[in-house]
Amino acid sequence: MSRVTESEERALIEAAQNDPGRFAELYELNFHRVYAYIACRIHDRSETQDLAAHVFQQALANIGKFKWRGAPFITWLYRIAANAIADQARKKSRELTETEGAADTSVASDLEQVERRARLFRAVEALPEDQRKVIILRFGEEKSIREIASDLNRSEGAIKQLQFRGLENLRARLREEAELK
Amino acid sequence: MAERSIIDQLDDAVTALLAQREPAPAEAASEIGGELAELVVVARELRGLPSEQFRATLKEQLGGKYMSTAMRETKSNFKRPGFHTITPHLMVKPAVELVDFLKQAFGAVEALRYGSADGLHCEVKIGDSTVLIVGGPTFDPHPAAMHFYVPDVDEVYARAVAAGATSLAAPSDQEYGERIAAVKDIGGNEWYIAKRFDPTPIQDLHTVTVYFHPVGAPKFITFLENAFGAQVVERHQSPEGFVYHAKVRLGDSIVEMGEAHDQWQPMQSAIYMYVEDVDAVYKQALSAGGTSASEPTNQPYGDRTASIKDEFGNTWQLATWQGRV
Repeated sequence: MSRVTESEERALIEAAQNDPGRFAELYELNFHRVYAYIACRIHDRSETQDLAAHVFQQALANIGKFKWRGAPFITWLYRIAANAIADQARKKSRELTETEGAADTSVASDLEQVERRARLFRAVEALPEDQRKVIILRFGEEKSIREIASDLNRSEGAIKQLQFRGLENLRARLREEAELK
Repeated sequence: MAERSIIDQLDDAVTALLAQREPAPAEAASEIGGELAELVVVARELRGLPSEQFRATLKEQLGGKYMSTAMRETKSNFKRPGFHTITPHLMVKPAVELVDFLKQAFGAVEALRYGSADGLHCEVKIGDSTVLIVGGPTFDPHPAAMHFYVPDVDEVYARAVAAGATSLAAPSDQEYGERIAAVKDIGGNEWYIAKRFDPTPIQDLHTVTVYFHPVGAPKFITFLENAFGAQVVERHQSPEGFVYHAKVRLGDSIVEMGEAHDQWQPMQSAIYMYVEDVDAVYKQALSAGGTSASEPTNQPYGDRTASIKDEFGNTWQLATWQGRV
């Protein structure tokens, strides 16, 4: 989903506050950035997924309490994510050793990297269909070339070609966006 | 050959990246040169790409709390573009040959093909309809019968026979209101090539319309109503309940049927059916007496599918297109 203006975003938040059924639009709009935010910090897929699920569940449960203070909605989601990551780190450090320092709960300064990662995730969706499937199965499902070839009923050589073309296209897309900035 | 080599090198790098649990150091890419190094950088960032299934499942879980009704009521893009609710899913051994036949005889236009003669998936357009052809020498055949509405019955019949179809009935005018001929193609599918006398179109009656010959048509209609919310559009039957002909609407498509008799006997057909919510329809079809052939699963081609067998021998491949959200 493309970016929305501030007033559109406020309207979406108000709509979700009045009718939680409308939360789906906020979910779609922010999914990649929340996921990228967590993925930049947590390098384990299942932990990333658990945290992403937690962030959206918390956001949905507390959407009524959200107050517009001029900062975009994503900042609120990042805050929930930062707290969740910190909580998890604290839990882990208690399990491991009492001497670990307190985890950083700040939303942190690497948001540019998060944005870049989220743009990359979104760019995957715009790839030609056959490349998109291969990239998603390879990186999103972590399947081998052989497994993807079998799933898609293509040769392994064809899948490697599509992986190559897909990565080339993504690199080009990131370059274009970097030049536009 | 040079490009083939870079493709393989890239895959080696991707395989190594995916095997690491910790993030790969940025310097790793600099050991390989130029273009390849840049692609490895992209691959490294893609390592955390969310799985589509996770994204859809989370949406569903959140939806289970609040979002479902509002979302489902407005959802209209649950079918892949170019598809109607009902698509014949012809499973045959000579799949490649059948595609050639459909092109030659019926002017089919190939829209998608993957696989080979050993295992083919092909989608063709015939008039306003899509027809799926799947198969190969080792596949269990599931041919279907179809009403095929054309402007000129005699011409299409002649082309079909010339292209290798077996004639089941030469063109003739029928008192119920159409000129019709019947052929069997090389995969065992039956095509009832027809032109209605009444030019007024019937809404949702598509160029290629699946036709059933159930033993016990009234019970079959009840199953379609209970399992899939079908609506009867036309029903002609004897006072004893023998259904000569019925048209039943499923979503934006009509399926037709006539009680099995003489040479027109049930075929164990496969039907690809797009529904708004595959999980819900799957459950509903089970409670209506269907048997599960496969549970709801996300497919790599973008559909969430499940399949149901009815007691008449047909397999209903239910699908919800998940599109790109």
